[in-house]
Amino acid sequence: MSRVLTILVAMFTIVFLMAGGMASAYLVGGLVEEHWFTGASRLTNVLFLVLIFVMVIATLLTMAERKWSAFIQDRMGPNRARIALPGLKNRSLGGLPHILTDVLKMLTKEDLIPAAANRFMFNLGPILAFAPTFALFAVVPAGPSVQVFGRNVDMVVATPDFGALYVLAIASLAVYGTALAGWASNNKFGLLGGVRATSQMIAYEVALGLSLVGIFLTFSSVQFPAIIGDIGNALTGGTGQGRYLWRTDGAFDLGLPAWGIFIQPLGFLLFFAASFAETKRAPFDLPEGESEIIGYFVEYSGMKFGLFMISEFVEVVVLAGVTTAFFFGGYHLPFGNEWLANLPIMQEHGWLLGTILGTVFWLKVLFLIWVQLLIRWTFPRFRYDQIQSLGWKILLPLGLVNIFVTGALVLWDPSLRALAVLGIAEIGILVVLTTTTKVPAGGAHGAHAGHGHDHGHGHAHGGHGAHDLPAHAHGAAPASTH
Amino acid sequence: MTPTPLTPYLPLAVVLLLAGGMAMLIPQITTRLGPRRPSAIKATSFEAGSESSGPARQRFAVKFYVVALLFIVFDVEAVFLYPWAVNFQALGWFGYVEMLVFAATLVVGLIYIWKKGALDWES
Repeated sequence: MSRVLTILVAMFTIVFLMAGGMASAYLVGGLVEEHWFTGASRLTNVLFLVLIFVMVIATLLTMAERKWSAFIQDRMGPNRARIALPGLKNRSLGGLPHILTDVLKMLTKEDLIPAAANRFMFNLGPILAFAPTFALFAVVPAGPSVQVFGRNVDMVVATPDFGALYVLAIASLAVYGTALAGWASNNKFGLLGGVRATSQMIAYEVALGLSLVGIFLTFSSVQFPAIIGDIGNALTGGTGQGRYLWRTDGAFDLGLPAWGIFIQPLGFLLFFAASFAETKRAPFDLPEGESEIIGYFVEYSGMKFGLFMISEFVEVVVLAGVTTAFFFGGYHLPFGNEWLANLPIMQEHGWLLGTILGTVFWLKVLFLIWVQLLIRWTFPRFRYDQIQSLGWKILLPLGLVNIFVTGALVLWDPSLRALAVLGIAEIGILVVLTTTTKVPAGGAHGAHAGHGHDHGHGHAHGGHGAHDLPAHAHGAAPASTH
Repeated sequence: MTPTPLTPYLPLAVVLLLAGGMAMLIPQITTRLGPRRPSAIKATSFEAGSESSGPARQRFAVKFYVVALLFIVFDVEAVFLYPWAVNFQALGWFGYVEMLVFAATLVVGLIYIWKKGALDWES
């Protein structure tokens, strides 16, 4: 009972802190717009979104990951560090003081550079690995544009015309950091990790780029604000992911929102798998392989290693943010958007609406981070040849098929309802396959059930998934049992 | 402040400068705070039990370069798909078929390299 209470208190605290963060982001944004110059809120958004939200979540994630792995492996996890203050002396505080001790340890380590290394390139490696990932979040909107003190405040740092292409371009720059770190160390483990990382990241870059084309052509844009869209009313119907595919007529709007996950489930799977490989986390952690080669950062010590580590966690947060924006409706609620926006108190205090929807965005991000931790600690590591053939032989052809099936359905039915029917059928097939496939013997049954479902809809597209998944489950099942 | 066409990019420039600045300054803290007791054994390359012989900068498997070549081909294809996707609904079925033909030529290339074994890592 006390455990349930602890969890409830912790969840309430998290929501409260995030709502507080978003409220202050909006209010400070409104203040600087009023007293400084128009567009100044974009600069305070740098502080609130990039420096506070992303960096704090990434820092806490270092501990969340260790605690979560301990939970999955039936251990206690880190709980020894204490703060020597009255009342806190005998509390482990969920391992939080370990974050502080970790940072202190990394800051006070000797800065070692191997004699064989190229000093300039060696120092450049962590910089090139960290800087691009840090700058990634700048184009992701974390909340709606609302009126605060009569001024318009956008909850995004920048809305360039190239939108999502910024994310793809800057994210691919991180590969220079890993390649350079591995090469400059002049260590055979490091070099092997470096070339593995480079090869893996560019192989999945292709699938990553193709997986988003479906979303771009559905919403006819590459810009985040256009893809997230605006809510409308019963007459205008909204734009982007802010509108409903089907909805009820009542005052409280209820319906199926045009979220990417419903109209592009295959695109979501491809994007999530490819970007997971880009973060180089298990099951794609071949460049690192901590039990084998340690990887491209083997020679790094202190905060230079720390930059590699924190950039991995920042990537996790940014990946969750970008996935939320493209596939989970950004800051929109699944229902009741128009009802909420039309409440008198929301009309009067724009920052309140922004705070609620901004908190919704960060809750979705936390959920996707949790999914990533779950995958990270559940799946065994792939072999390198499996990684390459997954990228080239499965994700790339599926990505191309997805683009042209999506394109045909968008042209056939511009209201996107046909696309949503196919999407929900795909999700249904996946659910049936996942729940019926337990052991290799049961895999055949799962494929059968998938086929039955598939025939009902008669799409070549769903058939691909049905053929593909049992094979994958066959491979994964024996590995996960030992 | 009068807005110019470049004004929307100012916050982006701030973030990029901040990212570069932080990435350069944070490791400096370690260099300042950490001890400095260099020794010959510390300066050797890391090994796990057996000493490494010779420098690491030797020739390595050509497979990694093949991946780089394939990447260029297919990522350029993806680059062509973005402007098409943005104008997709304006181009209609004509644009759809055009892009289908373009993608089909690349799929032929994919089938070719697949059959040639360029995608098989263990060979």
